[in-house]
Amino acid sequence: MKRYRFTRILIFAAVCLLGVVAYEGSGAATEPVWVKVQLVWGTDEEKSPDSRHKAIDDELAKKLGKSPFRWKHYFEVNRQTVAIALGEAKTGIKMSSHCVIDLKNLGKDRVETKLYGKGKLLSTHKEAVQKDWPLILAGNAENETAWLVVITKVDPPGKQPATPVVAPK
Amino acid sequence: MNNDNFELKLQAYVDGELSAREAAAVRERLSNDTAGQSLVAELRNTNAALTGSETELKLPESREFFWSKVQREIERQERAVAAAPKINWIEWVRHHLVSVGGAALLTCLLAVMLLHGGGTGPLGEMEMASDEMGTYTYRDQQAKMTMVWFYDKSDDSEFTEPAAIASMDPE
Repeated sequence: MKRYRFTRILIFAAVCLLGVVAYEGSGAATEPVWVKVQLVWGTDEEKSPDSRHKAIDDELAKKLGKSPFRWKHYFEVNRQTVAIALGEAKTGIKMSSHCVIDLKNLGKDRVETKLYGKGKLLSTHKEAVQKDWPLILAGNAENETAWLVVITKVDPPGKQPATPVVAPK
Repeated sequence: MNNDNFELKLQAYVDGELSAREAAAVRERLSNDTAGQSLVAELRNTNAALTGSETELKLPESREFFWSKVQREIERQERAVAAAPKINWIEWVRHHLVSVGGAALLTCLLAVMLLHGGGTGPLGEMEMASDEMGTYTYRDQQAKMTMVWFYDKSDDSEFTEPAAIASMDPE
């Protein structure tokens, strides 16, 4: 009797597992992942010397304010939004005159990020991207400031309830 | 009537065993017999003292009766076991579906966690282009962010020259 019950539980669990796998493979995982990349400058200066820089949104500022590496003000230098199909790589995404990144969709929201500085590969990072969980690659910059490359998953343009994302020309 | 017979008569009188006529005759004689009155008083006192203090005699249980009780108890328990197979549906649902449902839910949860990975899953993989550079990885579950901070291992690294990345000129 106990053996029969255990078998029944195993069958039920296997069916559930198959259902989840089927759901995952049904298209949700094969759709392109939309990624927003921001180059942010962190400084203690109240105003950026470049008028084209704009303050980052409050939510990101709040997150950055909780990190151990923090500055008083953050300015968005550039923003790019790209859609990457499964297995596809978007290369040469120019964030500034010196900073370029490559992005590759590894599947299941995992993205490979290659960071270049002055044309030289600095690092390769593989991690799942999430809508409310940015991946931030950062380091020191001149005059005790910081650069930050913020990578966040976003909804496709048609589904975005917030303000539309426009890549600078 | 001699004295012994009269005492027996008094005993019967006190116990209420005489007929009305005999009792009347005894009462008439007692009216002139102080010894008889004393005896009647004593007998009544004795009766009163004994009333309520007599212990009830319990007969010992016979061997047959004892074993018949055991047999009856066995038969009663067998009848209870035979009646048990009646299915209680609420109990059945609780016992089976709850356990199977719990196992299935747990499996689904584990499957979703394994398939999705994400921020709460395995940490990211980092590969540096040069050994002259190091990183700190800061992961904040509450603020929901992962920060990888690059730092110089050597001051003269061409890879970690601040201006290498930190140009804040969008063009």
